[in-house]
Amino acid sequence: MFGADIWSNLINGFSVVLTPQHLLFVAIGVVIGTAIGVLPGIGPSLTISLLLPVTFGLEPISAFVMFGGIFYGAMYGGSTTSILVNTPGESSSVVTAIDGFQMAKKGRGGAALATAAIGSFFAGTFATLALMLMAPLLVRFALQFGAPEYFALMLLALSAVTGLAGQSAPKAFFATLLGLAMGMVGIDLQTGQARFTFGNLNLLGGLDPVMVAIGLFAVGEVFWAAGTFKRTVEESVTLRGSLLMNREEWQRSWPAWIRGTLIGFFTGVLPGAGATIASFLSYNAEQRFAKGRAELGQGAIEGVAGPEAANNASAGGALVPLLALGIPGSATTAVMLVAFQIYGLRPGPLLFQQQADLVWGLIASLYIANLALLILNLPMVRIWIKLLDVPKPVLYTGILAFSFLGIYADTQNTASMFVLLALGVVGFLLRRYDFPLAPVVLGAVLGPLIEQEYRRSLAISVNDYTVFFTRPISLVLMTLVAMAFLVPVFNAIWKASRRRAAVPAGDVGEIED
Amino acid sequence: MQTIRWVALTIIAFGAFYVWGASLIRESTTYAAVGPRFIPNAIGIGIVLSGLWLFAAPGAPPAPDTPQRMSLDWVSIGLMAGLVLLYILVFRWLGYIGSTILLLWAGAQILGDRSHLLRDGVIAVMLAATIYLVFSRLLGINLPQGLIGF
Amino acid sequence: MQSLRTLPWMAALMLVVAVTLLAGCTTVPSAAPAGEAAATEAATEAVSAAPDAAASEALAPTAGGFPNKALQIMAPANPGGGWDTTARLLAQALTETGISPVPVEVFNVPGAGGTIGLAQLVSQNSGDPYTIMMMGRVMVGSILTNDAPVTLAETTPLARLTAEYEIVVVPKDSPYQTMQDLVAAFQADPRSIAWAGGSAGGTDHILVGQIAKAVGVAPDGINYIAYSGGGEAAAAILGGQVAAGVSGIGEWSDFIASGEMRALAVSSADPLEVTPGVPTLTESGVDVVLLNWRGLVGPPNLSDEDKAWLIAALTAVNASEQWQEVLATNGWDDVFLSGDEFGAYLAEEDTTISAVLKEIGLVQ
Repeated sequence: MFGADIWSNLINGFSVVLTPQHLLFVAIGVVIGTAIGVLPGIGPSLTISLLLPVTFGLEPISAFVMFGGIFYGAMYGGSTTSILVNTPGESSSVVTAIDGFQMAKKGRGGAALATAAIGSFFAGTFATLALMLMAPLLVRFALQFGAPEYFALMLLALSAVTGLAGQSAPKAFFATLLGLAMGMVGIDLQTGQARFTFGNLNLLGGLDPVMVAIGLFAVGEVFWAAGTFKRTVEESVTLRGSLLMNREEWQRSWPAWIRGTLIGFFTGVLPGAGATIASFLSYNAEQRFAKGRAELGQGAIEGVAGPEAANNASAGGALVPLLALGIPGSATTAVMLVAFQIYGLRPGPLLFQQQADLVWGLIASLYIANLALLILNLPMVRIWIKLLDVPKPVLYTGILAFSFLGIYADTQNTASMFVLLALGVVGFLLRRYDFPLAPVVLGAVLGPLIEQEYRRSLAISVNDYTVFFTRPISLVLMTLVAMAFLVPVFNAIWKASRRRAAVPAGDVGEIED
Repeated sequence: MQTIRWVALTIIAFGAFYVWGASLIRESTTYAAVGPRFIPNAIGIGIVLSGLWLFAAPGAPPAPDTPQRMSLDWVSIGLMAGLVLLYILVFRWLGYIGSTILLLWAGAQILGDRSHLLRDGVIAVMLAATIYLVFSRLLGINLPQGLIGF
Repeated sequence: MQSLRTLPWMAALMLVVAVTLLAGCTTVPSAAPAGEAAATEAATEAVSAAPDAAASEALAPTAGGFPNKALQIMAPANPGGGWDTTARLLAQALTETGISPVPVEVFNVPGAGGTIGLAQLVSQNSGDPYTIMMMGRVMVGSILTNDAPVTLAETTPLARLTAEYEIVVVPKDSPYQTMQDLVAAFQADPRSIAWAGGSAGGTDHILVGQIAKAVGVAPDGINYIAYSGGGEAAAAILGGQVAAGVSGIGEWSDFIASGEMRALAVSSADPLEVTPGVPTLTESGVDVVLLNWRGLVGPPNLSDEDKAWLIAALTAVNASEQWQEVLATNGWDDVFLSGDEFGAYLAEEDTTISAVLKEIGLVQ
């Protein structure tokens, strides 16, 4: 597919893109992408589908370099509101809010934004490089993943919850199950039966995890603000120290970037896994390997650096099956596939031969887009920080307006706005009683995937339960899952047994029931 | 009884409701190794168990100075929820700009910005109009035009 | 007035506004203010550089003045699916051929096999000729499986546009060389054949149900694995995770051409040009013909005049060179049928599909 002349192809690609017109479209793409990343509820797939008609008249390459910029840019922008106001705008930046917002409270919001931007640059560049050098190899790897492997991978992502638990294990257990429960709503893909819709047509489409994230975090946050503004002395989220990262923050960030990039990229290559799962898997890895893992949850920079690198790398990874096979791995790449079709192009092995200028131009533009995003976003840190100076009442109602706009734009249906309101109330109540919110989003993302892959595994193997352990990749992943769930349990038992003679093993064992 | 135990009882009730909801799912006669009810049932039972667990191990009550312990301003919360509900109800009828101006302005008042009535009004009008122009006129999202016609 | 303290956040707000405005402006050249001249220029230049479509005569508005603003095609699914793609290609053809004197836009109302979009069209757009909906065979099935409160009988049928035939494939190193091999294995041990395809109750599932019926396999022997899109199902087949796969021809034609998948049979009545050497199901001894059509319906209570205009526009675009090229590129058949004839066909399809869905146990 690529041959030995990669470099001459790439130079050719740069020569295609380095024209004022194409550079302009890269610039437009990264600006739009960053903007929609910052706005809650408006994601890259919606934006690209809205822009499709206006690109009809453009040369394909102009449109695609712009879409590439939007795609990467949205991942950059997504972290901003997570970090500064604890309201993630996409489900893939939910996990960033945990440590990012704590950092902002400690006055290190600038460093959090910087590590997100630099990590994203690193991840995006790596992902583009890997896309260019190893696409055929990666595709073969991705095709090894059948239902049992996906099931095991999703369980591994779910095990991230053990680190999100906060103070109370039963509360985290419930929060995860609540998310999984939300994921069951709608039409069952395997049998076409309606579940938990109670005769309401609008619930047949299910609860979109993005909607869950925005409802619980953004809308819930506004209710929380309404309930507390009279009682609290304004929690001052201000800036202390440098806007940039200090030496220690650099040293802690780069290993997290590398871990996040690798995890995110390989997750992105798998069709159907996606950026949210990548970010949670990365957080999971940080819990085990980060130098500051003890501090995770209270504002550890690794908790921002890893997941933000991961969600960007997964965006690049998702382009691998799209370009090499014509298989979209995410909502955004599905829309990009439509764009290819509108231009009469068919992604797949033949695309690289027939449309070499386009493919290599796109790859070259991704490098440029990444650089442009870094140049755009590092100075923007100064400006985003100013968001904190917006009076809270104005800021919160603005967040509310954008959240509802995003949902309406996506579904064209006021019924989904009621659902968003209800989710906001649920989010508020969970906060009130100190339940962690991130596991709910994780559950809502993973619920349908875990269930479908479990049922597919058993259907394909005709009820052979050993299928999860007899396939090599699945076995490895299952072993990791077992370790992820058991290690904290054993740790707890060990600690408890040191404190007391009697070990309440039953209690602890319930974590994974 | 500790508040969190009431929460635990609510969770148990929700779990029971969920299991009941799962029982309404029709098992189709088509072959499926695992039917559409199995996982929902497991989740529902899990929720009941998590409620029981929380009831049994509620943990220490939150420290008096944490937000979880603080008495909340339920009037403001109710007003805010009511405002959002109103927003959704009049969204199509009043049109995007009208309803959003209402949301932005009244929302800021509920959140305690009483001393900036005028400023908030100006911001509400500007922001609502900008959003409408950008998203509806330029990007082509269908936003309701409503009474005013834009 | 406010103190100087408000300046920074005002600046931040203005920046966000400016950024979004800039973003918006540059994408719609005609709407851009003078300040964005550079962007506009580049965009217009690109427009003029685009290949000229064979310009057709624009259709004159009706006596009632319809249309005088943009037409909207609802794709009742997420961006990226078959309806969405068809709707967007149609919008492009209507605009670029010049048949529509007004812009044509596509919007998505996803969910529940299109029944959410259908309900919205019927309840909110009654009599409004500016909103029409893309739909197809799958919607007929979804209405039945979801027991939807609104049916196609309430809409105004406009035209059936395209048809895509289904294809049965196996992974390239599968032991099954022909459809007969696959059928023999299916009859011997039905559940050992895992069939990958789209969502339950959709066209792919129905085809498998019809094949099972034709070769005497009981419905509860169908081991059908639903995937949420052609892409995911393709990955399962390419990776050899399932025994066989069913999909529309266009979606997998490249994999078949490159030898990554082996095509066993197509669901058309006669062999197809786009899949040389692949027999029909009927030729392989499986008496099944299936056509996955897509078309357009309008909201209820359209005036005769508006309805006639829409049908005329669709008739003209169907005859255009550009649309015929779209059909050829995607391997779609021209099965144009308009107005009441299409309405009668819809009623017929409802009966057929209902029978198959009952057979495979998805509808009671």
